[in-house]
Amino acid sequence: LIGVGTAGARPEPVARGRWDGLSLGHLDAADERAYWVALSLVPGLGPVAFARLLARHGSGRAAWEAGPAILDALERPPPETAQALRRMRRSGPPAILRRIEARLRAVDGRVLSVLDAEYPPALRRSDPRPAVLYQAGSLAAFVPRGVAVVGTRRATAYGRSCAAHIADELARAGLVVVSGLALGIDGEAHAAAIDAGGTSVAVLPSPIDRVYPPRHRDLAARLVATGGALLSELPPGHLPGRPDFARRNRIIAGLAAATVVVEAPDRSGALLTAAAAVDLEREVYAVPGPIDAEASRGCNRLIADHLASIVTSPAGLVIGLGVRVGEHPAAVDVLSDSEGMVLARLLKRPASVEELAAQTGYATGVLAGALTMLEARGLATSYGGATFHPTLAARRIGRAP
Amino acid sequence: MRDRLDLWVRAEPPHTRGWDGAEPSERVAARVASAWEVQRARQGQLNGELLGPRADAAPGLGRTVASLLAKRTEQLRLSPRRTHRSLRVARTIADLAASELVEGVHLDEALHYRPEAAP
Repeated sequence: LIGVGTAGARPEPVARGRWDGLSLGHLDAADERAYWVALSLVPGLGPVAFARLLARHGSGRAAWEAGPAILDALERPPPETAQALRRMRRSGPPAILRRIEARLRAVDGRVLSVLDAEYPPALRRSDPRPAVLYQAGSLAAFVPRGVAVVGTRRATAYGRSCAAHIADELARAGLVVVSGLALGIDGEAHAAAIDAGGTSVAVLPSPIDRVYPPRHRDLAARLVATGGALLSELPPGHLPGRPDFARRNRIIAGLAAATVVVEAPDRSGALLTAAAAVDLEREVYAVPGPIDAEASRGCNRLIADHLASIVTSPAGLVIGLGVRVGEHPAAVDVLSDSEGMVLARLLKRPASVEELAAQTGYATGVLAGALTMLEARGLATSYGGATFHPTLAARRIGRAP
Repeated sequence: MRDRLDLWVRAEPPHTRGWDGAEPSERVAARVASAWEVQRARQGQLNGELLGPRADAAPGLGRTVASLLAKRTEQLRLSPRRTHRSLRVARTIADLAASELVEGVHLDEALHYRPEAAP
């Protein structure tokens, strides 16, 4: 982890072999479920301590029934642990599970424990792994190879454009785009993957029945409707508290064969995802930015420190991942002279109206009209700024013979 | 809020090159004055004072431009407020260009000056 710019919170220390050394073959998923859920709800009891309990007691049920011995498995149990255990004992694991399952039914969700065959295979290969997850959407979304596309919430137009192009390319290559549904880069990546006809998985820092951030509720619904999935470590009905981004980011890295950091300033949460991916010995890629861009400092550092491979183009990334790239469909559209010329310029380099006017000698009024037309046809976008960028559709036309 | 603004002009920071060819302010003022005159003569008020329904029936709006407007409203997901505003701006662009008819290029230019939805 040393060298990754993540001053502040770090993922919990590596405990390699905690889960991999366990034999769980004798345990019955349905039998154990309630105990696993109950144990996973104990404050301070993370995946490492969970594995330790299983190793010591043989099963979740035995661990639960051992009573206060649960506390011995924790190095420094927070004061609320004993209190929570007492409270949970009053209702008991089966009642706790019933309550959670009732809430899950409302969002068409389910409990996934390490004992379930449907537990995401890539996450099963990470160690330590969350004992219990809550999921909505398609289980098939976990089967193809996943690639995490993550980055800052305060994304620049460059970052958004890169995130969209990369996610689009990955989705077209048949890879599942995994991200955190955050504003900025994450949202851009999910949306582009869906728009490309692909599948996307979002790991939430909140329960699946309380999508965070609220502004992405529609995106979350679209993601599920298009064959993707939502995943969370928090049970439905969990009270909104400080979202746990560090643990969420570990799950993102664990679900993916590779992690791409698109845009991240120093101390960005996306760097925690990169750190977790390094830790899990998964591939890490970073998109470089201008050396004077605050928003790209984290990415540039990852590359400089040899913690991440450099992304020089979305297609190059897909090839780097060892996936064969299919042919892109060419969209043929009739553009006027000025529109075609503006688009050709933008494909070479994003530009503002003034820059286009200086380059081409066209009046700004003509250029303004041409840009509106390109925007209306989904060929250009300004992401709210003065500079216009070609969209994915425009790049595909640009690439067609 | 942004929906209530008529014009939203995205500008680069100013630079010193290329000022020589710029249109002098007096000439721009003269164009504006003559456009106002045209508007008052045509409808008894300025384009900016045309309210929703009157803007819809903007003088000189052909059927092709009306259908283009309907198409752009859908493509760019414009609000009714924005549609009316852009129509008034398009009428003004046409007036400044001394064009009796509002044409597609005027409309598209007007739409370029719409505020971007907050990202």
